[in-house]
Amino acid sequence: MSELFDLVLLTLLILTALAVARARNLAGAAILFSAYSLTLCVLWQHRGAPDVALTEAAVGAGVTTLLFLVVIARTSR
Amino acid sequence: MTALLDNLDYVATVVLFAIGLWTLLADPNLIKKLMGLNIMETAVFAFIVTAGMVEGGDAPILGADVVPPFMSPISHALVLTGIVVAVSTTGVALALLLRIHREYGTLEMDELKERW
Amino acid sequence: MSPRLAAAFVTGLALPMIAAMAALPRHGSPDQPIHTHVAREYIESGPEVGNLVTAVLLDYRGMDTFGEVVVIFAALMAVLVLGGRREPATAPDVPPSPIVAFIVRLLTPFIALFGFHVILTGHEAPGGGLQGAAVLGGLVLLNGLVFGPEHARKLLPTRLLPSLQGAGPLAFLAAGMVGGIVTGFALGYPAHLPLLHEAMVVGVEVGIGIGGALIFSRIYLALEGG
Repeated sequence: MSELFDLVLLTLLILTALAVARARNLAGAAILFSAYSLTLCVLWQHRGAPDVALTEAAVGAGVTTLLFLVVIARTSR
Repeated sequence: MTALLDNLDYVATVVLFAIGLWTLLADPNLIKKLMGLNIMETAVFAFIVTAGMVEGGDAPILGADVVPPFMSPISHALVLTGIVVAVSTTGVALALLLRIHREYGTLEMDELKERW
Repeated sequence: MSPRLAAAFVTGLALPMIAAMAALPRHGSPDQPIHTHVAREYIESGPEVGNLVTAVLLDYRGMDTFGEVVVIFAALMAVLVLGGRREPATAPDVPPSPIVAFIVRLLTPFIALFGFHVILTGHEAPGGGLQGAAVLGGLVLLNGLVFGPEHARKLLPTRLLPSLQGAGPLAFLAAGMVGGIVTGFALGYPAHLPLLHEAMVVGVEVGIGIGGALIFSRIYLALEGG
């Protein structure tokens, strides 16, 4: 069960990373990057690293994505 | 082959690293390149966290009702430091991108090359 | 680089790496080198109760964390230098949707409470200064994204901002000096004085947490042009 969960998460991770790489729309890519970080956060929580998962949820899915969005908004005006 | 299947989690991190590197090299947009760089960084972090795993282990939060084995706390501390440094370097890179945009009015590599 | 050439290069690089992954010891097995040397020592001789990750960050590898705090402070300075001239801050182009605005207003105090909780309980539960800094910084960014940077600026302590930005390195320096006086080693923690030990750990955590959160917020504000 646990291995199946791992496998699903890893597949989702690779799919979201591919989606970021293929996305043409910059804002969409930023949101996909947020989804990628959140998947990674769940994986790390599952791997017994709650500290790292908490940081990744706040930094990867939150701060980094928001910084990307700010710059995308300012450069596409 | 079985060794490869045993270490499927490591293989997945290499695939993520490759996807990030491909984005960094091939994508014409500088912001997308930066996202590729971020994916590469997280792939390395995922590799380190996976290496610190122990089968049936617990998170390294000691207390009365938890027993060894524990996940390696060093890899977690290492990755924690890495994530925070990664976000601040991303901030610096984004400030540089804004500066490039102000000077050249574009962030596409092929347009930038014409105005070199 | 053309996408095809890049794909060929990346594949050529990834295949040997995947082959190398097969040669690594099976992940999760307890006899890997990563579990048999320093980590085991830390687990066996570490504190009886508490978060071992925080212990490694602040205690065993305090100098590394000190360097990291200085790095994010340096990153803030680099962003401020690159920011150049100050542009008038603008309100968001579209007014926030009432639902989003309501939810963000509702959640803001709770996220802030959670951030401080994570900072203060970091030595015995999952969490710590860096994690709390990320949560609080994310809160300021969220408010800025929804209500505009001017609103986010109001959440920060304006008058104390310049001195509090350096709180991380300064707290580390202070704890390092106190530890140096008490134990004879810079950044040493006195094991025989549990109360002082705890006060030093919490002090450093609060310094990193508040300083880090302000640094993230300031990087955001600088990118917004102010």
